[in-house]
Amino acid sequence: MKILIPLLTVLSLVACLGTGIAHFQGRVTFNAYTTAFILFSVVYFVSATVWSEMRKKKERTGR
Amino acid sequence: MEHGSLLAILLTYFGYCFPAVSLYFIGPMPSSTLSQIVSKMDQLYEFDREAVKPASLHSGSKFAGVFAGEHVAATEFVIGAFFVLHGVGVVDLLVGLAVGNLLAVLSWAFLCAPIAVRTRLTLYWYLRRIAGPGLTLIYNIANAVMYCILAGAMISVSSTAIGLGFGIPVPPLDSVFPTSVGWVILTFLIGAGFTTLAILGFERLSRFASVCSPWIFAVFVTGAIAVLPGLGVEQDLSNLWEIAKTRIWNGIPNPGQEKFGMWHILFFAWFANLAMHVGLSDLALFRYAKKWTYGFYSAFGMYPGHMLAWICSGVMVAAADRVMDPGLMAYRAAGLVGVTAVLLAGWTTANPTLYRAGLALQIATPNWPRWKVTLIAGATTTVLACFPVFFLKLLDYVAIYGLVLMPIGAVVFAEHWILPWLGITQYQAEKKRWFLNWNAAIVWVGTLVVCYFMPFHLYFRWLPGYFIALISYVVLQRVADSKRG
Repeated sequence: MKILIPLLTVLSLVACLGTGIAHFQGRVTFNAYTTAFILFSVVYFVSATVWSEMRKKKERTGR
Repeated sequence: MEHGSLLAILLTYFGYCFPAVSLYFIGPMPSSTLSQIVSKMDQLYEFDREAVKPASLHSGSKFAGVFAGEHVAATEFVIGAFFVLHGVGVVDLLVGLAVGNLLAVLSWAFLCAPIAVRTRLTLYWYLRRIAGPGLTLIYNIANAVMYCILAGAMISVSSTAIGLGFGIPVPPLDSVFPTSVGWVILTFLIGAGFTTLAILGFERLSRFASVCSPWIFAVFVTGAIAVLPGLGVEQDLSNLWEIAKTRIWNGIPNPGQEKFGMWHILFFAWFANLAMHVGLSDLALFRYAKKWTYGFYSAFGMYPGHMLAWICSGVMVAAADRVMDPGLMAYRAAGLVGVTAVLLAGWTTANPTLYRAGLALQIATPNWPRWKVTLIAGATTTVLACFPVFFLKLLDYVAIYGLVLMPIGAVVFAEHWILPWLGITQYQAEKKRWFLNWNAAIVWVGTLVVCYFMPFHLYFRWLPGYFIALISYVVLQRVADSKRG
């Protein structure tokens, strides 16, 4: 979990960027791009919030 | 008189004369009341009264993170777009942003950070030693009013996002007053929502803001990339420069907008955070720095933050038919995600601004609980947000904000470096227990009066004003020192 959550956070953010690039390259339509952007954003917010809580817990307990 | 100048006068006097107006209407306060207020003010800032201990110092990466997170705000959607509407050319934009942001970084590194690591104090406590508690009080109130207007602009920006869903039109560029009942109701509701959330919990929201900021940055970049095909950019980017020159930053201002050149952009990028670097508000941040060179970490906020975000919002507004409607331009660039980003950027940046405004206002309301002060700050901010002038004239407001607080930065800089170098006694206000250092007050007011009458653009006035403040304070202190023998 210590590695998975930060990795998921970073990857989802990169995927958000990737959707825009894919649309620019004409690989996906605007609707597909915005839908994928929403999905990756949800993944980002969930994982980033969990990561933030993990860091806060680590700061509190020192572990 | 140009519109921007008129706004400049109104805002300057609104922010600056507030204490004077209250004195006029309420009458001179008894000295016991003033002492109570000063004592209350000291209690509020008690937690940072002591200089920072070596064990509490932070690493450089923390500063990089703070700067990267703080400088992608709702206002970035408006600023970059306004550069396009003001008809700046692409070369002027890039050179102006690169040099202006560099000057901002150097201001943090050479003006703010060295004083911070030598004193390890916030501006509040350091100014108190230099200018006395009276002037610190006035500075705080001026700052609170400025914060309320800034938070109001952020609420207005968020309103454009929600208004899109309800078909509420964004007021036209020359609007001062609200143009529809729908806009007032919407802004009022959003302001009330932001205020309620700020009252419920500042810290939890701050954590949420730190989660949001990388994502908001991603929305800027992704949105700008996604609208490039609509502007006619080829997939191999072969005509990117041509499109940038002819369809985005084409050098033609929108009707009614002033033409901007390289110097406007350069100065804007430099003074966008003037109160923080030259004005020395960021002493509060850099007092935790191990070395003064940590000031260079501000580049993480200026380049990936300001520079890139302003470029991206410029691209987005060009794709949205050059209409100043942050909600619409984000929607066209990134759909619902874009709209959410505008709303969240407004919320997460209005929240700490409301908090700071509340903290600054708390000095004038002894014994009031925190929630009540935040409520007053929030209500004031919400009313201001209903007036579209504050977000539609955001560039001018940012200039005024920095200009009003800049002379205090010059006074502190002179007191810290120049007075000991010239053998003039430092910290007279503290040593003699003055309530107000009149020399500092005269320099503050005098510099603003001189700046007001300067015969050039508002954006360029702060720089000569800074040197006027610096020199006049040194001269006044020298005269006072020789009179004292």
